[in-house]
This record gives sequence, C-alpha cells and structure tokens, in this order.
Amino acid sequence: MFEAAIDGLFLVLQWPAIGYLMLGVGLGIWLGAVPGLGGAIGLVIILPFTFDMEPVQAFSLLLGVFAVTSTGDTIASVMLGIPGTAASQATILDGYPMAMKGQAARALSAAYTVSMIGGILGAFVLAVSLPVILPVILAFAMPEFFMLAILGLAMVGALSGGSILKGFGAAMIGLLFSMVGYGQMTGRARFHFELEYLLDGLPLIPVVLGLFALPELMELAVRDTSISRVPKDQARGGGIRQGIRDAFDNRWLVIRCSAIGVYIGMIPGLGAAVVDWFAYGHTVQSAKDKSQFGLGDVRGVIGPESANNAVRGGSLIPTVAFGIPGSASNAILLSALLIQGLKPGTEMLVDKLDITFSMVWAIVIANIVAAGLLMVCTRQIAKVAFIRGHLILPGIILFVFMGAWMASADIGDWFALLCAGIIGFILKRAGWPRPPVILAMVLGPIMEQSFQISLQAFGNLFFLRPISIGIIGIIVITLVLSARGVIRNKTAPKSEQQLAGEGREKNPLLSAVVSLFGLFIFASAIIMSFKWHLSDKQFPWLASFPAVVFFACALFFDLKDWKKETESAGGFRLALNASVEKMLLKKCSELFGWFFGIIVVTVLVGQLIALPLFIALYLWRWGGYGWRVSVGYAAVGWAILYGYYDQVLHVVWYTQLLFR
Amino acid sequence: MLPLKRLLICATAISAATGITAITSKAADAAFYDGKTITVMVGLRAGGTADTFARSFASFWQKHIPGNPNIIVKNLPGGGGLKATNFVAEKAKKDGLTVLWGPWDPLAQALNRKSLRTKYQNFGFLGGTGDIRLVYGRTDIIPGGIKKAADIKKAASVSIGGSTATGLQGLLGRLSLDVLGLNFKYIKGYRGGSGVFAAIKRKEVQLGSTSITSFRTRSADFVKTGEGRGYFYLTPVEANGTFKRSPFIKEMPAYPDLYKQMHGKMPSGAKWDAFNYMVSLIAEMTFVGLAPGGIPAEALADLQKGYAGGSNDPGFIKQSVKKFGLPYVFVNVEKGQRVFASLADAPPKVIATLKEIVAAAGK
Repeated sequence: MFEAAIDGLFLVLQWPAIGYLMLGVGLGIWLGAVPGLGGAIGLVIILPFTFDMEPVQAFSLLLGVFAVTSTGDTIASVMLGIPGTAASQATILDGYPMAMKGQAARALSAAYTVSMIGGILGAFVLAVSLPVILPVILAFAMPEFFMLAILGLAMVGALSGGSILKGFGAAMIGLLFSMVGYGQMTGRARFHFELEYLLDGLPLIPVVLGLFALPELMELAVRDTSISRVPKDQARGGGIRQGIRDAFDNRWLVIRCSAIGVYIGMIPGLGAAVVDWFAYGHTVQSAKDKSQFGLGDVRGVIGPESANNAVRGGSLIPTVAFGIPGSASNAILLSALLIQGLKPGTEMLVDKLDITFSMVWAIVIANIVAAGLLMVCTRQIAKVAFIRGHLILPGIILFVFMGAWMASADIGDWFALLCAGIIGFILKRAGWPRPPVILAMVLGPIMEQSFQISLQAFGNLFFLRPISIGIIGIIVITLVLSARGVIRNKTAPKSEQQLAGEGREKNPLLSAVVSLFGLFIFASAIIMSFKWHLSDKQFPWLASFPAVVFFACALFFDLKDWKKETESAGGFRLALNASVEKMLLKKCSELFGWFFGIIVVTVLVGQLIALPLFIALYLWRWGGYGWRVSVGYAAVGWAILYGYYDQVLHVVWYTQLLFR
Repeated sequence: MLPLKRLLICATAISAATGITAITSKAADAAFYDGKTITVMVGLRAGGTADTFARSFASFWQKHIPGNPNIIVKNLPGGGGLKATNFVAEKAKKDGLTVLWGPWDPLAQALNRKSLRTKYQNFGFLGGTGDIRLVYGRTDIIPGGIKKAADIKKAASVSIGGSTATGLQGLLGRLSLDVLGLNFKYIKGYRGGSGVFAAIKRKEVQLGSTSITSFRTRSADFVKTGEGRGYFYLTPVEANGTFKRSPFIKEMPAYPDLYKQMHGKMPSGAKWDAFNYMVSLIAEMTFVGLAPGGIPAEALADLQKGYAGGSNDPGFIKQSVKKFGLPYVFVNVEKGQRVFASLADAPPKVIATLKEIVAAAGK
C-alpha cells in the first residue's frame, strides 16, 4: 500500500499531469466564486477534453476543479452573504457579518487555511479508509438517511437565528418548496397550480440566489453603502495574519470538523448538503462563549469551512469503491472513471491502487495550491468590501440572473428568482432565518424518498433500527442544548449590532404577518392535499401539521411582542410607522421594479441587451455615474454574457419577441 | 501531440471563448454544413450518463457529417427529457442547425400524456443508439444462493427497486417479473439506477433494472464477488415467436429463454403483449437523434449520414468496447422510422393494458 501511495504521488507530479492539476485548480476557484455555477458545470465542460488523456492526467484536471470549488465559494459567502454552493451555506452566518464589520480578510484567510487542512485530512482519510470503510457506509440505509436529514434540519432550525420556532417554521417553508412538482413516488404533480414550469419542481439555484443575494444587494443599493459598514481606516483586527492565527488557535475544532466532513461526506446523496450544518452545530455546541455566533464569530467560519473541503475526499469513497455517486460532481467523476476504462471496486482498490492514490494526492495538492493562491489574492478581494455598493451591484446582478437562468433556461427561473427575492427580503426584515429554507429545500426530496422507501421496505417502525435510535438521541440533545441557549440569550440585553445577524432583526408586526401567511399557506396545503392519494399526501402532511403549530405559536409570540412595542412607541400608529420605516419599503420596491424590468426587456429583446442595459441605467440613475463608466461597465457585462455564457457555457438564450 | 501543447490547447479551449465540444472543421467540399455549427439539445442534466454519451459521441458524429460542422451540446433538462423534445419540436428553427439527442419516452406518447406536446413521427429521424436493458440483483434471494437465473422461481417473493410508479424503466422491470409469474414487491422512490444499485448493495431491495453498459461497469465488482448476478436481458419477440440473442451477453439468459426454462413454453397473455410491445420499442433504441420536421432534405440526409458514420466509426466502437465489453447498437433510419410508425399505430388492447398497469401502480 505504501509503495502504491508513493507511486501515486510520482504519477501526479509528472508532467503534464501536474500542469492539468494547476489548470483545474484555477477553474475550480473561478467556478466556486461565481454564484450559481458550482463545480459540476466545470466538470462537464472539461470532461470531453479528458477522453483522450491518460487516466492520471484526466483525473488531475477533474479533481483540480472538484477539490477546490468549495474553497472558491467562500468568497461569495463571506463578501456577499450568498452561499456560493450548497456546501457553504453555514459560512454566511458568521462570514458575512465579519465582512460587514470590515473583517473580510480575516474571515477569508481563516477559511482558506482551514479549507486546506480539511481538504488534506479528507484526502488522507479517503486513503486509509478505503479498504475498511465499506461496511460502515452500507450500514446507513434509508431509515438512517431520514433521521440524518431530520438532524440536519434540527441543527439549522435551532442554530440560525434567535428563535427556534422561527427556525423550524422557515425549514417547513423549504420543505413545502421541495414538494412542488412531480411527487417522488407516484410521478403525479403537486402544488404546481397548472404551471408547466413548476412540474419539474422549484429549481434550487434561483431560490438560493433570490433568498440571499437579492435582499443583500437591495440593502447595498438602498442604503448606498459598501459591504463593510465600517470604513476601511476604522476596521480593526481583520487582517490576513489574524485569520491564519485563528485557524491554528482553533486547531482541534478544525480537526474535529474535518472528521465530521469526511465521515458524513461518505454517505451518498446526503453528506455534502448537511455537512456544513453539522460542523456549524458542533462548533456552536462545543464553544464556551456562544454570544457572538451569528454576529461574526470566526469560529463560525472555521467549523463549516473545515468540513466542506474534507467532504470531497469522503464523497469519493462510495464513488470509487462502489460506483455509487453521491452528487452530480461525483457522477461526472464516475463517468470519467468509466471512460478511462477503469471500474469502481476491487480494480480501483487493488489492481489500480496507484491511480487511486494519485487521485488522493491530486486532492491534497489542489487544496494546498488553492489555499495559497487565494491567500495571495485575499487582500485584494477583501478590498471589495470597502467599495461603494452601487459599483458592485450591477456586476453581481449579472451573475445572479445568469446563475438563476442556468437552472433550466426558462423565464420561469427569473420569476422564481424574484419571488424568492421578495420572500427573502421579508424574512430578513421580519427576523426569520433564511438558511433553514434552503437546507430544507435540499433535504426535502431526500427526506420524502427515504421516508417512503423506509415505510415500504422496513414497515412503520423503521426508526427503531439501532443507528436510527442513536441519531434520534443526537437530535434530542441538539434541541435541548439549543433551547437552553436561546432561553439564556433571551434574558441578556441586546446591542444594535447583535440585532443585525441572520434571523435577528426585530420587527414584530412584519413577523406576525409572516406567521399569519405561513399559517394560511400550510393550512391551504393540508386542504389541497386532502383528496390526494396517500403516498402523495403523506409527506406534505408530515411537514404541514407541525408547520401549522410552529406558525401559530410564532404568531402568538409576535403579537405579544407587537403589543409591547406599541406600548413603548406610544401608540399603534406610531409603532406602525416605525415598523414600515424599518423595512425601507419604498426604495426597495422601486429597485425591485428595476429587477422586474430586466425580465420585461428580456422578453422583448433578449438577455444580451437587457442585462447590459440594466447595468448602464442602474449606474447612471442609482449610482450617479457618468456615461463613460456606465457604458464601459455595460460593455464588459455584454462581453461576459457573450464570451463566457454564450461561447463557453453554450447557454440556451430566451427566444425574444423582437429582433430574432 | 506533445503534452505541453495539448495542455495549452486544453487551457485555451476552456478558458477562452471557444465551444465545449466544438471541433475545428477542416476544409471540405462545399456541403450544406460547411462552416456551420450544429446545436445538439440534450434533455437531461449535464454530467449524467446520457449527457456524457452525447458529448463523447458528438466528436464522432461531427467527423462524418459532410462539411464537418462544429457541434455544441446544450442541456435543457426537464420532464425526463420531454422539455427539450417539446422545445425542438415547437421552437427550434427548421434550418437543420438544432437537433435533439437523448432518451425518448414512447410511454408518454402511447398513453397520450400532456407532457409530450408532439408525436415522435413528426421529427426527422437521424439515428438511434441502443443499450440493452436487463434485470439484475442479489444472489442471496434464496437459502444457499441462486446458482442459475431460473432458480429465482424458488424465491417466495422478491423485491425490485425503481424510481416512479409511472416511468418506463420501472414499468419494464415490474412487468418482466409479473409475466414470469413471480411474487414481487415494487419499492419505488429511488433516484436513478445508481440509487437502486446502492439499495441492492444495502440489501434494502433485491433486484433492479438497468442497462448492460451500467451493469458491466458499475456492477462489475458486485458480480465478480458473487454477491450479485444478471438474471435476464430484454429482447423483443417477433409475432412468429423468434427473437435475437445478443452475441455479446453470455452472463445471463435472454428473457424468452428464461421464461421457457421456468415454464416450458413461450409467454403469452395481455400483460406479455404489453410488455413485449414496449420492449420492441426501446430494447434496441434507448437514445435517438431527431431533427425538427421540415428541415432541408440535404441537411437531414447529411445528419443521418453523420450519425451512421459516427456510430460505425472504429474509434467510437473501440471506445465503447473498452468501456463496456460490447459496442452500442446502431439503429438505422429505416428501422427507427419503423419503430416510430409502430408507436403511432399502437394496438388499443396494449394501450388499455398499459394504462391499467400504470394506474394500479400509481395508487
């Protein structure tokens, strides 16, 4: 085995394999950094180029991309509060508040350092676990998948925001989103309102971008501020060195979270989606001082970032050992494996062990190089946090809209983006956490699938299998510890900054509206599904009945808070005015109208005109810039649309009404 | 080619604004496709089996189309491939520059589903590619293990995994066991073939339905260790009772052979008729290349020529033999059109049986 490991190292260090690896790393960073792209697209682009290569060269290129997208995606998570990929959702909870405090460089450098360590540990665990880990992976069947998904929801519901009730309520919204379209079991459509677009379900990426990106961008525009609310000369303690020091000061946390990443990552189909939340949950629960989590605690970045790179190594185990890919990226790697004439299983673990080890080494080297490259750029990237928001917004909007469009190349993607934007804006302003919506949306199909299959294969008492009981125990502990934390936190006085974290804004009136609306939606869902077949309505009911309870309780507490606020404001009207003012409703609605205008212009003349036009007009009207800047920026936008999205990604553009 | 040169070409090709599968054309006689770019729409997500195949096949297809046009692959996923089918039928220009490639869904047309807004016979058939379907599974279904495929009849009951109740692949798997007279339980909800394979490995279900290419690659170790085996592969039976056995598949019997071993006669009955009808449609034509109806005759002929040439290209055959131990089956225009005509003229009794089976499974 040792000999194979050394052979594998030499194979990957040979020219041109090492060159391909470096090329892959560069592409992986880019694909991770651009919201909505993700690593799978990059792998698809590259795959045909590998058909004629030797196996080690092909995998150097592919694994270069695969291993580091979750390092590159930290940029969007920290700088913009947008989860670059599904694996970096938890990072935004503390990463973005750090950027707002002017500590983007610290957050990024800490993230890169621990990503590197996590990636390397993940690769080594992959190497040593390969021969012995198979029975462990097979012990996790559908009942355990269902329980792990519930644990993921319990973690995110309990940890992202100041109220467990709202966390779970938000998670239920995500579950409902996941049920739109053809059902998992019967192929009958649910909650689609006769819209063809919804038959395939709500696509994840437009919803993620809408929920997170649009509200943050609107805030930048409306407040005319930079990402950092603190001027550059006043930002303290946010340097690169501090970030690296933080990583080493929390070395045991890094190792523990990396282990979580690699072992959870092995579970096909589930690992990558929940691992950052498991790591974040562990980080919060193992910390003595929990007061700064959600407000910019560097440990909140270190935990999930250690795990989401380690998960890559772990996720390769079922792919290489069984031929069971757990994600789209792994499916492409499996295709590459087969195209090279390699077969997963004994061949990769015995006959071609040197090639398997070359894959391990490729992941190790890619992680080191990516962390080094990004570290060098961190100072420049972090400067973006101090640039005027009006200059950042148009460029980001282009990537956000195109990221959403990539979901299914349908104008419905943009409507989904804007609808999610409205929901995200209201949730943010009302103090409801948004990450549970996304995680539940990702986990919803997995939960329904595992629930239904468990019932069919193991009967009604499927949750009494030993591992499932163990996971139920962890869920109970999570909930108890979180509830204790929330109660303790409620009694402590709050500073203004403490009310700025995810799910912590206070607007009881708006929150009551959300609760009432949630109550209405879930009650309607129950009524709508009443006459459905049992297998179609089982899961909607499993989510809707608890959701009604969550939203009813949240409404009760909101009304209680609203009563208090009315009293302290000196009357209903004054409190109402203050509530509306806090939302910045007028200006936000206007900007939203501009976003809607992008759709209208696209329908008329297509995206290649609509998006650059938006850039130019926005800079002129909102930013107050001259025509040179506006037109120049728009020209760059057009070049990106044509050069990158059209010529490289071969996007299917909207068929416009005019100038076809 | 020198490694450095190839690396540079690769880097340039990916990072600069060139096509994904664009292949630079060489000068040729003035042909319809001279200097043109063909967009191949794939109705499934990028990175899946069909998409990977499309990207791999594109270079061979391109090589054999007169004029050697560039070919780019675009994904338009949705509705199990039907979104792209509808797009090409309704919105693609009839200029021969946009074509469809991917799996087709005869069940959607046979059952007149709203999700398919066209008929397959309205397209110009370019060529088809077959990937033989089979049923495989664990060997520990009975005490002492399964020694030969026919031993499966000794099992008191078996479970087979699938994705949905109404999809074609699940339907074929279920019908095959039903016709064999086995007592079986269909466990649905798995995502694709790899989800079912994982469940078989975990002993959640015992059997699954897949293609020979996936079986030979993904399940190779599973079979080698004796944990699993192939039970039968599907092949259509003609009206006179004859059928073709694959010369490349020796590790399991053809379905009619297994049936005869188990029952001593050829299968019959309404379910068998429905099953055999569906097998005759897709058994050798898993993927199809289609052009919108009404494209220039010259373009259609060139695309058909290219598809045939690409499918029979020694490089393409070598690639698939290297991967799967057998070449993909090529379906020529004549045969493809015959299959489409047969679908358009489906026997009402068969349709009624299929509707009944699908409705029962959806409950």
